[in-house]
Formats: sequence, C-alpha cells, structure tokens
Amino acid sequence: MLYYKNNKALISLLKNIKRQVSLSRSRQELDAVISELKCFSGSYQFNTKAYWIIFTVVLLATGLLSYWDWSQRQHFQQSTWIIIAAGGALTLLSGITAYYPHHIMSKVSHALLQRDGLLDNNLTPVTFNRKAIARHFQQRFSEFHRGNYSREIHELFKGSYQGDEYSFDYHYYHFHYVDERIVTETYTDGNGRVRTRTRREYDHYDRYGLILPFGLLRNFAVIGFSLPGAGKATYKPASNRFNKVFKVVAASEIEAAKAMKPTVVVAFEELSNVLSKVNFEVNDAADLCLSFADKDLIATPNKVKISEFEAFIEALEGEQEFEKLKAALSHVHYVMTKLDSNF
Amino acid sequence: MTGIWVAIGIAVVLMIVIIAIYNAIINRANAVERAWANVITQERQKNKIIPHLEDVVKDYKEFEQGTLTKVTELRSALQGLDSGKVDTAKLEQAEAKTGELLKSLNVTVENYPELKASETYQKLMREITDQQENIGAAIRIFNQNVEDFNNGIEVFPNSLVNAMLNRKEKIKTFSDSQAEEGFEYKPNI
Repeated sequence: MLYYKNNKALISLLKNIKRQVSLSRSRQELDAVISELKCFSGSYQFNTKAYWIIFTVVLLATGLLSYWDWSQRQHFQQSTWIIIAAGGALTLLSGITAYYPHHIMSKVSHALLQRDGLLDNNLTPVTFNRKAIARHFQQRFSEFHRGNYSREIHELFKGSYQGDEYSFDYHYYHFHYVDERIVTETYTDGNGRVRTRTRREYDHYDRYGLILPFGLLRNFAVIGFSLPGAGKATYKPASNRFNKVFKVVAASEIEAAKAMKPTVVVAFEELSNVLSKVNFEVNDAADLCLSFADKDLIATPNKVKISEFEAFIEALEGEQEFEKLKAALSHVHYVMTKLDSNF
Repeated sequence: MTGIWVAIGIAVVLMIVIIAIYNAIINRANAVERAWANVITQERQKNKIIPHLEDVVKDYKEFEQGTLTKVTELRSALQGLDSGKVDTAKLEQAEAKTGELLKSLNVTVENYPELKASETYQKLMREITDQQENIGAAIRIFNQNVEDFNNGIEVFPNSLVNAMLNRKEKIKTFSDSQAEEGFEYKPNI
C-alpha cells in the first residue's frame, strides 16, 4: 500500500473527475461532476509528508555512505554499488510517490476550471478532422498557407458574441504547422577526411485565431505578421504607430482609405497592445480570420487548486472572463460598427 | 597611409549617420503634416453634416434661431482651418464651436419631444457622434506623431543635426478634453 487511505480515495476521486470532465459538454454535465467532488467525505488535502521524509533520509544516507566509502578507498566496493542502486531506486520511488498526488491535483483542478471557463464564455468544442479542417481553412484564408511539411487544427471551439449593435457566431481555433528544412553539415570521418551530410529538420509553429462572417468588406487585410500570398500594401494611414506594426492590403487605395478611418486605425493600435503578431484578413466571401500568436485567449486565469476547496468552489461558481478573447471580439464588433456607419 | 583611410572611413560613417538622422527628422515632420491634414479633413466633414442639420431644424422656429447662429459660427471656424499649416489654436476654436452647437442642440431638443424621437434626428445625432469620434481619433494620431517628431529632434545626437541642418522647431500637441471625450473606444484590458 503506497498511499494512506485518504490519499488513495482522493486519487481515485480525482481520476474519476478527470475522466468525467473530459466527457462533459454542457453546464448540467459539469455541475454533476462538481456535485460528485463536493460529496467527497474525506480531506481534499494530500498527506505526503512521510514520502518526503523517506525521500530526504534515503537520499542523504545514500549520499553520505557513498562519500564515506569513496574517501576511504578512492573507489566503490561492490556492496556500496548495490546500496547506491537500492538507495537510488528508493529515492526515485519515494519522490514520485510524493509528487504524483500534487501533480494529479493540479491537472484535475486546471481541467475543471478550464471547462468551467469555456462554458462561462459560451464556447463549445467542435468535433473535427485535424488535417481536413486545416485544408478547408487553407482554401478560404491565406493565413493557413503556412508550413511546407504539415498543417493541422489542434483545437476548435464554437462561440457566439452579443454586442450592442451586432451579434455573431465565431470559431476559435488553434493552428499548428510544421516547416521542413534541409540542413547541410560538415564532419570528419574515421579516416580524418572532411565530409558533408544533409539531414531534415522540422520547426513547429502555432497560431491562434477567430473565424466569423464579417460581411462589411471583401479581399481586405491589415497585416501585422507575414501573410503568405498577400499583395503589396496599398495604403498607409497617417499614424506612425500603426505603420510600425501593420500594413494594409486592399483591392484599391480608395477602398483601403475608406475602411481605415481614424477610429479604426486607433482601434488596431490598441489591439496590437493586447495581442501579438495580429493579422486581420477578410476573404472574398466577406468572412474574417483574425489571427494572432497569443495562446492564452481561452486559458482559465485561475490557478487555485481543489486542495483549497472553498476558494476553488468559489472560482467555479463565479463567472470566469477570458479578457483577451473579450478584447479581440469587442475589437471586431467595434470595427464592424465603424465600417457600417453609412448614414 | 592607414591613418588617412581610418579618417576617411570615420568621415563616411559620420556622413551616413547625419544623412540618416536628417532624413528621419524630415519623415517625422511629414508624418505630422499628414496627420494634421487628416484632422482637418475630418473636421471639414462637418460641412457635409451641417445642411442636414439645418433641414431637420428648419420647421422649429425657436430652435432654428439659436442653432443657426451656432451653425454660422462653426462654419466660420471651419473655414479658418488650414490643412497645410499646423495651428492648434484654430482647431481648438472649431472644436469649441462644435461643443457649443451640440450643447445648444441637446438643451433645445428637450422642448421638442417629437423631433427628439424622430428617426431623422436620431440618425443625424449618430452621424455627428461618429464624426466627433473620428476627429478625436485623428487628433490622437496627430498627437502621437507630434510626440515622435519632438523626440526625434530633441534626443542626442539628433538635436545637433537639427540645430545645424533641419532647423525644425518643437510642435505643440493638441489638448482638448471635449475632443478626446468624443473618441469613445476603450480597450477591454
């Protein structure tokens, strides 16, 4: 029996919760999981003191014995090797045993808070084929023309936004792409001759973004990060700050000037303070892909764990806000209102 | 011989640095002028809105008298703006006249509930608000460019190059709380 009774029951509960969280799709399902967590009769704190003591004592004892033996003989006896091996194994085992409960506690706490945050922000996971959906997006937006080796969508959520003037449905995605490159290197062989060889290296990249029907522009882009296949900039607004970060590509200079009103320019300046490497691409079907490098748009801001039970439940019962997601969506809404002001 | 080449090398590098600084100052000055022209363009958009305003209030006699005086004053202030010359005092005047007109409109319209509720008036007010927001944003861009320009002529060694070659003077930023209030975009974080 590696664990005490309470530790064992708590680990079993956490494993069960973890499985159920991954299956939950609705608020009701998540509430049922939270109820099960609340019903646990034992302590929500692990007692791993004994394992840490064993870990420390065995580590010190093995170290001291090894040091003493080495200082006496300048080499280890066979029996010392056996003690070092046994001590090492016991140290490793006690270390893992002490660490594992805290690891699973963190993982399950995060999973619960993350799922709750997604539901609080009306985000529901979408079932999809990683490569097929990437190909589909690639046909619609230049943003997905990246990665000469592979392209995949790793996460896809559906959400809806209710603004003062506009409401729209959107998809949040996590795009992963890989570039393959051939590296040539020189080396000296066994005969002392200098030779060259080539090998393939793979660079992995991630981009994130929102896709939604925009409707107010077509073939228009504000580019803050290289956009494959985008044409040359057609228009430069008056703002130095904007021009340092973005370039504007549109069908004509007049169209770009019409869209880039001062309010829109300043809104993009503000957006670049919130998100990094931003691209705002509207395709010929008037759909928008707002892409960026930030991976924390839909990450729960809470770090509290189940072991701090009351604070944890309070965090679950409160409304979690994904501030960056909110900023990105309100930016899109703001630009919509500014572009639609044809009185 | 080496010493001469070193001296020539230093002189060439120095010359390149001076040319780069000189050009950067010119670029920043042009950016300020462009941002200023943008502010004036936005201000002059009001000339397109004023006739609609006159149309809306023409049937309301009491309304008309007070408002038309303010409209005339605003028109005159807008005419005084020159897109080729940065003059923040005149811009301030035009913004003050706009503020007075809007204040007068808001007070007087209370006596005409049917006008206040009419779609035409609401649409007009939305247009005015939108225009004021664009002016506020254009002023913000102008102020940012002015800040860039002022930094560009004040930091060392740019200050030396400016004193010897460009001879540009520091530009005052435009400060008007009413105009800034007109621009409502607030980021969420």
